[in-house]
Amino acid sequence: MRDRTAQLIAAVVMVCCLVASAFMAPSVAASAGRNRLVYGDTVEEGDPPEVALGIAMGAFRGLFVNILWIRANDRKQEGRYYDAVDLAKTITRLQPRFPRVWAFHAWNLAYNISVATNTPEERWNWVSQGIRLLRDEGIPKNPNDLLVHKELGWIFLHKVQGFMDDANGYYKRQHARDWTIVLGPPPRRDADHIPTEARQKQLVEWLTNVMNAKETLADVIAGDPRAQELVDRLRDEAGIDLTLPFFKDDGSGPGEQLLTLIEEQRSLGRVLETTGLRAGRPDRNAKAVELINNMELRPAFRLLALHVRKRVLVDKYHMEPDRMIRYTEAYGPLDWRHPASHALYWAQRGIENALSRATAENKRDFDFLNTDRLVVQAVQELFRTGDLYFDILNPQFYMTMPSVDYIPVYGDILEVLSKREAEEWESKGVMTSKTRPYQLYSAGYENFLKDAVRYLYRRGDLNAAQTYFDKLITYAKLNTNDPFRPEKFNMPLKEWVVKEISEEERFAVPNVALQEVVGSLQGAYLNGLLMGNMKLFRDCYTYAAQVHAVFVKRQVFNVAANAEDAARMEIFARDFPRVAGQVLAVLIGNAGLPDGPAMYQRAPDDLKARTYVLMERMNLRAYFEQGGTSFDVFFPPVPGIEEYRAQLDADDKARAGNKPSLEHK
Amino acid sequence: MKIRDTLSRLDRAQHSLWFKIIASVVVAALGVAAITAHVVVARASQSDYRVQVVEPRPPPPDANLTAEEKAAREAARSIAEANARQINDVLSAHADVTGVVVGVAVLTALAEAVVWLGLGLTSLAVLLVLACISAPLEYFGNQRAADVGKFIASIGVLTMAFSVLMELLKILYGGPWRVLAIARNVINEAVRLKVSLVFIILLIFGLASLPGLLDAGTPLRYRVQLFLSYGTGGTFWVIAVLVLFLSVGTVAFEQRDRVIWQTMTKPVAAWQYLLGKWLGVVGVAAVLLTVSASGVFLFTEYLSGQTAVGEVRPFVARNGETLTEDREALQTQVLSARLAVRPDLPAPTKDDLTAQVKDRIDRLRASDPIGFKETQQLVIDTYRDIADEMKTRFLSIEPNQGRTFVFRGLKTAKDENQLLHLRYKINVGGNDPRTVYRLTFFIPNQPAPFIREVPLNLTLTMPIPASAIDDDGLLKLTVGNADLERQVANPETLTFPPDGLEVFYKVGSYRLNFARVMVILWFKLAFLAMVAITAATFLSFAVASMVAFGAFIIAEGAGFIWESLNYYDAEVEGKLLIHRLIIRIIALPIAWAFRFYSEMKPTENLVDGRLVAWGQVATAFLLLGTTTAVLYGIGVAIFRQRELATYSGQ
Repeated sequence: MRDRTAQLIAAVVMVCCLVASAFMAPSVAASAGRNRLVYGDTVEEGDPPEVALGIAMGAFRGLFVNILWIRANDRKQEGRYYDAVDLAKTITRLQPRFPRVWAFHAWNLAYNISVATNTPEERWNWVSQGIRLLRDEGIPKNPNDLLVHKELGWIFLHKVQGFMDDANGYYKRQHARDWTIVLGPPPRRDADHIPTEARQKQLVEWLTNVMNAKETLADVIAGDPRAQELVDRLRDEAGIDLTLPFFKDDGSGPGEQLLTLIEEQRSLGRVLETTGLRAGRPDRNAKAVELINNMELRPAFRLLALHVRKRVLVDKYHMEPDRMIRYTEAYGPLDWRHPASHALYWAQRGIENALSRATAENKRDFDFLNTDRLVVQAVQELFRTGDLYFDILNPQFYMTMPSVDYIPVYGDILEVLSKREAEEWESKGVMTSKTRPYQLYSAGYENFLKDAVRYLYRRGDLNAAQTYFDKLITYAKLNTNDPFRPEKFNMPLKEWVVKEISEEERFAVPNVALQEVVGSLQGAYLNGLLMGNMKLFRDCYTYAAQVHAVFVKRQVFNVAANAEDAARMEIFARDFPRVAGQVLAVLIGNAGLPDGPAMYQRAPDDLKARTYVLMERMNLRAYFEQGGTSFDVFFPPVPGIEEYRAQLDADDKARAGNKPSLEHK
Repeated sequence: MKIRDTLSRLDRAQHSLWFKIIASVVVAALGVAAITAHVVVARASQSDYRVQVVEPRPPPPDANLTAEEKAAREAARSIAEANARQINDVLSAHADVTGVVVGVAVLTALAEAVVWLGLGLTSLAVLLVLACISAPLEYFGNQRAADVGKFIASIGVLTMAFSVLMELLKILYGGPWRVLAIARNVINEAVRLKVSLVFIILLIFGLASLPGLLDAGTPLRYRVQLFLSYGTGGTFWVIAVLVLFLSVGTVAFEQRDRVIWQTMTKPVAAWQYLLGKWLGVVGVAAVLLTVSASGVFLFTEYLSGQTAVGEVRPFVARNGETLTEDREALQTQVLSARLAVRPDLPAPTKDDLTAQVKDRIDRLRASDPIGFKETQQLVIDTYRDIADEMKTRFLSIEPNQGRTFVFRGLKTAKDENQLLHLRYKINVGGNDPRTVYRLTFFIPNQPAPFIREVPLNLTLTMPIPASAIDDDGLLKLTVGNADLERQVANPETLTFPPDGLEVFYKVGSYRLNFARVMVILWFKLAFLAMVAITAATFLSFAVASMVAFGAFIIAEGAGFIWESLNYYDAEVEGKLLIHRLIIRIIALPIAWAFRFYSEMKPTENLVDGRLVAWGQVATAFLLLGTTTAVLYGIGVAIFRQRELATYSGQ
């Protein structure tokens, strides 16, 4: 009797539950669908076996994942990375919609395991594995999750673009190499494209070519019948079979091989253009090179190359060309060889996708604040280092210079973010029409504007410098907590710049002074000489001379404490013409062919003479003659060389004579 | 009819003596030829992989070098020679023929056994069939097909090896004694019982599929470690479960099904019956362990000869480098048997310690004159706390400060010019996972200090050349809590945990280590077999299985339980919680009893390249042997009291 009662009660409870679930299920399912939380609960053809395993584990999956997580953490702390990596991989397979584990796993790879290794190559292997994990797997499985996007952006900005890791230079060069292969270097910025808008337009056109490239190999062949012959000959004669997948993780796919050869040929073409010398790479695939240079096949090759670029970009790097174009239009002429461009892309993509899911109720679940900051930091980084110089055949030469293109956009972004922050404060009652809390964004903007004004001034762009200087004084949202602020800015622009570099404490540090002088000279040579902008060259050169004179006047290098440093840093002599020659000689040595000779040939004769002698002293003669061509072909001698050589010898003797007195101190 | 006749004739032929002799000679000759050919090729290519010492540029003839300059040149040359020797030691693994010799010897022995078991032609036919299936998949298919081909071939070879060894085991147990007769029955039962057969198949399939699960994109050393870890650890677990089921089943089922009546009505004593059962199970475990160990060993040898990260081909680094980090780590940190040395810690005098304890107790008394009670336990705890605090203080370094740690007993490493490895881990505050410290390591006789980026609470490794050790075998390592190069101090004090600073040096070979690990694993299996048999003497299959599994899980996790109990006090905020007390009363003695078992971590030591010494093997034998003997005694005592004639099943 008692059993029968229990059965009856159970049956009633069951019926109640069924009825309740019938009512609630549609709304739950609709909510899940709206928020794109639906993940297949059935195994479909093509799914990896672990998906079936995960579903088969049912409710135990969470428990199992917890155990694996604890174990993975323990193994990581014990230094058993082989197991930690494997376990984390298993977790991501069992619970692919668990963003935090993707972030954990990628962080482990990029930050923890990478620093456990001691060579830059192996470190890069781990960092790029962390990037690939998020970009190729984590984000496709969690397309609207902000965290995975933010983590990926952070790895690009902090790990690759930052300076904390000892191997950061290697990361930057490898990243630049990879993206030189995918898209090629951005088109040259000639005189018509100096204004930011014109440059943006130029890059948009360049990316549009990739976006509009043919979708499939069949389309390419349909577009140009000779493409079939090209594909066949590449396979049969050059061993590059484009019917196979174009790419591999290690960059050795047939499509990537082809793009690498194209970029190497492009680089060699620049050598020919600059020096008139026909160079070659005998160790490269000669048949493929022949096909690349076959003018009859050139139109088909162009179609094919664009198609390969598009497929590698979309299928391997999971980037959307239309979004890249949109961000180029919105933020500036993004150079995709620069890690900060990728940080910006992924952070902004995450924000946009997450905003589509965010509502007033769930907004707190999204970390918009930190992801917004990431976008701001990426733009700031692009201002500081956005002009990038890299050549695939001379990978050691990786040089970045500040880019004025990002100055306006920084302010525009801050307007949006500041407004968003203000709205939030107003809703909380923190901010009224009379009071306003200290804004971190504004503090950052003030420093940014100071740097921008100084940089524009050194480039000789006085109008723009004045505009931003005015903004620095009058910008309504700047923090007003410093009572001496009005005093600091109550002076003409020129006076402020001189005051800034001569009185600011940080410019009293030799290294900072060195950076300012060398940075200006590098700008003069790279943005001026190399790009053929002689006005820019003269302005930057003059500014460097002024700054150098200010420092010498302040006797930064005459104090006993710095004497040794100055002696050690040979590049920073008290004689400015020598400093200018040394910086150019070092730059030419690093740039190699063809950019080195290009800069030399556009320099004024007195600078050429000094640079020529200093290059000889740096043994660059032997370096440039490795290919069998005379040094003087690349660097034609000019009058004044003998005199400068004699002067240097005399200076060195004098310095050698002074040396004991330094040691006696 | 004709085919059957032919097969019969072939079967008779493979059982004939003349066939066995000729086949044995052919097999032996093939084995010797294979080894000789490999040795010749390896020796011939050895010089290609050697690094030469680059002579320092000779001084100009008219240069008058001072004594200091001459000494500096000599020192530079000596360091260059030492480095070249270390690199050559690592690269010499390429020409090391031991793995291939062992592999060929094992296969030859197996083939000889097959021949003398009268299965020469049958096995040859099976191998041909396997080759016919695998070869086309390997050479004409895609990667997945090739993997399937390898998988099928591996299953075939492992199954054959298992069958042959089982036959050999039966021959080994072929004596006329009662104990061995019972053991032989267990061997037959192992392949007849569904429950054990399932695990045998699982083991063979698991082992064959394991190489295919390795990610080719992972560094070679991690692949080897992963394979060793899952190869030895995973197979041990599968065999252990099989041993438990087989042991319980072979005793419990015989009682349930009354088969035991036929045995026990003969003049077989209880001790003979249980010993026979145990020997049978232990024999089967030995066969399975031998098959899986051989597979793991041979595949590890093969895997270690593959291309490492940064190599263009095995042992040849890219870009003209001499050695890649991956290869160096594999050969010196994984495929090795190393000992760890920890730094000398401060040893306070007894008087000093007593004075400090007294001082602390006095302060406690002063802070609470009424409630304070000086107990023996308090004094002991205070002694322990103060000693721990002194150690922690010594292992802590304040910002911008340095400390020198002395490691002793490294004379052998210096004499053999070994490359040592420092394994270190630091803790700072709550160990923020996003914080990275930069430490400066001053290593004696090195041209410059080493700056390292160190995430918190993560174990890292750094190579240390033998030249850093002084003539007394001491390594004096100074660690600075700052980046000397950038002149930046870290913000907080760092602490090395007690196991967070160790120097490793090589004392033996990986291969012997592997053999010793297998022996210990076998001892463990033998112990588990006795646990299960003893449980089955008085419990039904289900209950005995549960007890045996419980014991197995507890034994494996005893270390974890013991550690957990340290944090699981019965008293919380001054209140005694009864349920916690009961848990502690039950768990503590169990965890204590099995600690010796769980502390034997042969697989982890093997994977980390730590030495598993013969002494540890002997200890394992003594401890596990004694426990097994005690359990056996208990089992016999119980079994003698059992009323077997009673209907006991279903």
